[in-house]
Parts: sequence; structure tokens; C-alpha cells
Amino acid sequence: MLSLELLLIQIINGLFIGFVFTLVALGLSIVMGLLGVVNFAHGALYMLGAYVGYTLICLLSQNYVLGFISVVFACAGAGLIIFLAIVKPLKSKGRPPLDFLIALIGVNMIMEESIKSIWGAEPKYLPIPQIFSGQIAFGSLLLPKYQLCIIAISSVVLLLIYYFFYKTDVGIRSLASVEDPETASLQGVNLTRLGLLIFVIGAAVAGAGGILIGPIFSVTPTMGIEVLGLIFVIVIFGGLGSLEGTFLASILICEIRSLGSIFLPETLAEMLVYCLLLLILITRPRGIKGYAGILE
Amino acid sequence: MSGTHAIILSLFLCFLFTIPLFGTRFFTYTITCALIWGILVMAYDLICGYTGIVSLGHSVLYGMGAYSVGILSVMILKVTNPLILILSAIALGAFLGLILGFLCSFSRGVYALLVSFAFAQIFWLFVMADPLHITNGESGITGLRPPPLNLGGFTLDLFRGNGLYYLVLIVFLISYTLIRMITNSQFGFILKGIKENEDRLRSLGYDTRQYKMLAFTLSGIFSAIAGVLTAFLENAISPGIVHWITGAQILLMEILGGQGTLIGPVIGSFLVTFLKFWSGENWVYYLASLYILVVMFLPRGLWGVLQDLLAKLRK
Amino acid sequence: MSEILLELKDVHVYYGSAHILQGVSLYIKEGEVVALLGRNGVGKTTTLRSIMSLTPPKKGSVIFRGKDVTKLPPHLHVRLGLSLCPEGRRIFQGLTVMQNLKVPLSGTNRKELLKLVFQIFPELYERKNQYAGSLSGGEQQMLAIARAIMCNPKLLLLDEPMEGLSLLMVRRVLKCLEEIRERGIGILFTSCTPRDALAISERAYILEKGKIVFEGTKHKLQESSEILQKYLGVV
Repeated sequence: MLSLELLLIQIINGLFIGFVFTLVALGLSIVMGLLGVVNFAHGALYMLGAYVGYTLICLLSQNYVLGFISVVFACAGAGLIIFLAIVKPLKSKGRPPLDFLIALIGVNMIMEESIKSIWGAEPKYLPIPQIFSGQIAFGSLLLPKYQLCIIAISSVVLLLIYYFFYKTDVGIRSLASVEDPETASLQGVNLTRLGLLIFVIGAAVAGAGGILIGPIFSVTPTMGIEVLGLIFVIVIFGGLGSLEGTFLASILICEIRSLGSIFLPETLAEMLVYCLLLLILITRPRGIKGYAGILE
Repeated sequence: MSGTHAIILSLFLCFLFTIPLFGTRFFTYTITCALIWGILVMAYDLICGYTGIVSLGHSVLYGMGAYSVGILSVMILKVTNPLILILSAIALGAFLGLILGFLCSFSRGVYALLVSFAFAQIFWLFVMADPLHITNGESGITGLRPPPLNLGGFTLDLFRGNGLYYLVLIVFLISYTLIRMITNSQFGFILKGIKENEDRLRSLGYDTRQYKMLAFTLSGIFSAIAGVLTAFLENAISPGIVHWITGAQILLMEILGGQGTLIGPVIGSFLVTFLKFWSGENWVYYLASLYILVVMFLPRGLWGVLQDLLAKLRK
Repeated sequence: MSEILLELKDVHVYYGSAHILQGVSLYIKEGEVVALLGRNGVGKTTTLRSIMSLTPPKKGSVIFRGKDVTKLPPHLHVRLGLSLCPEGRRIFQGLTVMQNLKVPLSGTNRKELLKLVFQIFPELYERKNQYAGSLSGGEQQMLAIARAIMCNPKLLLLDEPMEGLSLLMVRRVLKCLEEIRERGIGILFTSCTPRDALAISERAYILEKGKIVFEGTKHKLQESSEILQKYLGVV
């Protein structure tokens, strides 16, 4: 029997995942639009965040703040290494987007295998921090506190990101470079350096997403691959390099999945999402609000 | 073909034909896998190296070929006639290839790749969710064992052990010959034209969509054959075979060996198979590093490097 | 005697195997306004793009203010004072007018440059928070030129700045180019129509199939109707 509470919980879950995945997807979307790099290692960075967070919070200190900060730095560092070792050299050789894809699949394989060998293949459980645990009462309804708090925190982060892109010089140049990289370079924008910045920030945010999701879903060596597909759907649906588009797409798709799983088994709900992706790719590959950019 | 080429080729073929006689069972198994993947990656080269469409969806053509064997012989109909199993797989492979080709024909480059990616995800989820109760979901299908053929008192078991090895080898050689004929034909010429400059071909009046769809259909047939052989070899199938990661492995073998050469991808498949089975527990690291190095420094693949070396030696 | 600002020496540019520019040589002096004329497809755009190293020359050199910029990465040209307003305007449609003007690396001169730009283009000031995609054709052209000015150039390159504009708009653009010239900024622009071009330029080059076929003052060009007819299809 479908109660109002169950429905609301599913909606909140959908929003929770939607907000966090907006953060993760934005990193990928802007990088794809700016550099033309299809970052197949993005899922691995997300997973790395979850594992680093788990290590610091469950195995070392009990401090969530320290854990979160470590995740951001660790994933930013990983992003930096990947960019300097792979993206930048291939970019300077003028290689097409598909070459990046293959190299990054290799990176993904290495990261996944390393995680498996360091932490083992069984799922790990990251507990919800004390202050966020439990439920909040709305009248007679009990709603999950953690998800609601993360939605609130993510909204703040998204507003900061919005400010960064629309109000700061670097942000404006990033948006311009996604829309028209060549013309942006004519204005003096160093696309490689900008790409580095965005790539590293994107990696850090992906890792943050991993640790935020971690307490709700378990931390496994396959979570990177599992999530990658969904993130790609969001990125394409929203349109490369579009903040509003990515946000709308993320919320929409995560809600479809969340509400769909009430009526359908989860895998079938996800199947619908991919059918949607096919439809979009065929009819309107630029997504809700994207630009032609570098991949066409 | 030059004299030296012919000698090397004959030696190699002799080697291949005599493997079960002197090799260990594991060695024979490894070569069998390499040959099956070789068929698959040659089928893939037709699309990627010749037509220029990078797809992650071939795992579906391959995997569903394997699954059709399982579905027909174990899950639904208990079919045991190998010929029916093979022909059904071919039909399914052709059909799925046609659809994939059609879907990919609307986009170019990375977008076409994402179409194939979505295609693979849909089928993987379908196999896992198993709404029609034909794939047995996450556990996969086991117990695939077609009976040996009876030819007047003399049993020919083509579906296990050495019998299967020779079947695979012969199918591989036939596939190579056929696919080579395709790439050398006028049709193959058009495909190469699509890779080079599709717009120019279209302005000349060619319906490139039809060519792509046909190429995918043919590729689907050979991919499905590879799938059937895998099903016979392993006697079991699991959903991972349809996942895009498998598709990525096919792509990687292709890049490793060298696109658009047919021989290159086969070298890739042999190299990857041997690395997987013979380099111990760290094979993933070796393989991944190899991919990265080849993409970054050897864009023409190992066969390209070999050809350059041979050219230098001749001087 | 004013300095030579930009010099192209025997520049050859290939597009794949097509030999687009076959030994182009030209020069611009400080404060000059020079027109590069020619029919569609002769290589005018390629010339400007090769100056900015977007299509770098295979042979020959581009010297700007004494420095060899032939192999310089595109984004570094702005720092030296070289700016291109590309063909088709190519403004950033998803950004507002003001944001478009903030993209160029203006350095410490940004405030003054903004003042200058809004002086020359008061319409842009009125629309400064409007999305660039919603501007009219003429306004977009003005924005493109304004954006190029924000790069603080010593030499401004413009690719077909008057293409597709109404007569009124063409006059407006010409007036703006005058104001830019008055501030000592050199101008090199391309055009298919000599009449508008010769209204403000002092010298002109004519490009035909990748080669310079005419070089001279505007008077010399205006007087030779056969050249105008032959290379530009003008009577």
C-alpha cells in the first residue's frame, strides 16, 4: 500500500541523489565541454572519494570534517595526476576525443583494481554522522534527516558554484570556453590551464559526491562503474557545460528512478532511463540547454 | 603476398593446427579463447577500423549470441541440435546488429559511442532483471553442452576439448577469409570512405546509413558466432558478457593491435588473452598500462609498429 | 615615419593537402587602416587566422612589433596587443553583453577599456545585462568589435565586419572603426565589397586564389576599374 510517507521518502531520496549527482555530473559536463575529454575515470574518482572517506572516518579518525577535507584533497590530487599524465600530453598532440576515452578507460581499470586490492572486494559501510542521523518529524510523517541535510548543504554548494561560474572572471571564461573554445582562446584564455583547474575541481567534487552518498549506499569496488552510466545520461540530457541543464536533468532522472522503483523493479526503472538517453542522443544530442561545442 | 609472408603464414598455421597435440590443455584453452576473441574483434574492426564508428555495444551482439544458445538449449526449448543453435544465434546477431547500426547512424563520433553505450546498458539491465524469465538474471545460465554428432558409429565431438578447438580454428580462418573479402570489396571501399569523409560520400549520393546498417548486420553475425563458440567453450554464460565493459575490452584489443588492418586486432586479441591468463594476479595493471601506453605513443597499434619495423629492415 | 606593426613574409598555409595561402606578404603600419579584399574563398579568413596562429603557416613568418609570432599559441597573441574579431561574430550567446566583455584578458586596463567601449557603443551599455544571443545582428557585430577592443589591442583584425548588415549598420560600424583609428589602434579588415572598405582604409591588398595580386593606396585602387572588375567583380 502506497502511503504518503513512503512516497515522500522516495521523492526525498530522489532529490538527495539528484542534488549530489548534479555536483558529480557538473565536473564531468564542464570538462567534456571544455576539453572534449570523455572522462571515463570520473566514476573511479567518485569511488575513490567514498573509499578515502571510509578509511579516514571508520579506520583512522572518527572525524567527519577531517574525512571530507581529505577526500577533497585526495581526489583533487588524483585529478591533477590524471590531467598532467594523460589529458595534457594527448591534448598537446591534438588527439581526437576518442583517444582520451580509451586512455581514461585504462586509468579507470587501474584505479578500480587498486581499490580492490587495497580495500578488498566486500562492501564497506560508512555510518551516517551523529548530527545528521535519525529522522525529522513533519507532523505525523517521519522523514530521513541525513538526506534532507545533504540536500540543504548541496543547495548551498550549488549556489556557490553558480556564483563562481557567472560572477567570477574564471567562471565566465570557463563558460565561454565551453561554448566556443577557439574564440575564447582568441580572447587570451589559456584553455589548457583552465582545463586543468576545471578538471581538478571536477575530480574533487566527484570525490565529495562519493563520500556524501557513501552512508546511504554501501561502498563497493563496483560503485564507480554503476554510477558512470547514470552520470553520462545526466550530462547528455542536461547539455554539455550547462549548469541549469545538468541540475534539471539530474533531478528529473534521479526522481524517475526513485519513483519508478516503487512500481517497477529497480533495474527496469534504470532501463527506462537509458532508453530515454537513446532517444535524446538521436533526437536532440545537445540536451536541454547545451551548446555544440567540441564533441561534434 | 610476398614469399616471406606466405612462409610465415604457413608456419603459423601449422603451429595452430598442431597445438592440441603438444600443448597443455590450458594452453589449448588459451588459444581457443584468443581465436574466439579474434573472430569478435575482426567483426569489430569492420565497424571501428574500417567504417570509423567506435562502439561499446558489440558486447551485446557477442553476448546475446551466447545467451541465445543458453536460452534455447537450457531455459526455454531444450534445443540440442547445434545447427539450430548456431543459426538462431546468427539470426539474432544480425538483427541486433541491424538495430544497433540504425541507432548509431543518427550520430557521429562520441555521440554515436554513447548511443552504443546506452544500447549495452539497456541489454545488460534486461539480462539482469530478466522480466521474461529467460536469462536467469545475475546467476547466468549453466549446463550448456550440445551432444556430440553421430556420423555412422563414429562420434565427432565438436563441442568440447580438442574437437572444439579445431571447430574454433576453422571458423576463425573462414571468418578471416570472409571478412577480408568484405573489406577488399567495393562495399568495404565505401565503408572506408565513410570513415574518411562521410559528408563527401553523401554529397555523391550514397546512402551512408544503409551502408552502416549493413556493416553492423554483418558484424553482428560474426560477433554472434563468437558468442556461440564462447557458450560452447565455457558451458556457462553470465550477464557480464553483455556489459559495456566487455565492449570496452573489445575496443581496447582493437586499439592495441591496430585499427583497420584485421590482422592487428587479432594480434591484440592474442596479446590480451595471453596477458589475462598467463601473467598472474596483476594482469589488470599490465593490461591497463599497455592500453594507456599504446594510445599515447603508438596510435597505429602494435601491428602498425611491426609494419614500420619490417619496412625499415627491408631497406 | 610610423613603425611597421605587423608584417607577413611569404606565408604559406595548407588545409590538409590544399594549398590555401601561396606566399602572402603584407604589412601594416602603426595607426593605419588597411583593407584586405577579395572574393569569397580566396583565403582572406585564412590569412587573419594564420596571423593569430589558429591555422599556423607551414612556411613563412608573421612578425608583430618586431617579434616572430608565427608559432606562438593563439591565446598569447592578446598579450602582445594583437586581437581578432572573427568572421560570423562568434559572440558568446549564453553570456550577457557585460560577461562577453569580461572574457578577454584586459589586465589592469579593464575599467578604462570598458569606458572606451561604452563610449563608442552606447547601445551596448543600455543592453549590458541582456543575453548576447538576443541581440540583433548589428548589435552582435558591435559586441564582437567591442570584445576585441577589450583585448587592449595595438592592432585590431576584423574578418568581414560588415557582412550581412543593413546599410545603416554598415555606416555605424564604419564610424566605430574611425573612432578606434583615432585612438591610434591599427586596423586590418577583410571585405568582399570595396566601396565600404575604401571609405575608411588608406591602403588595400587584393587576394586572389591565395596570392596577393594588388597592393596600393586606395586612390590607386579606385582609379583602376579593371582591377576592381577582374578581382572583385565590381563595375
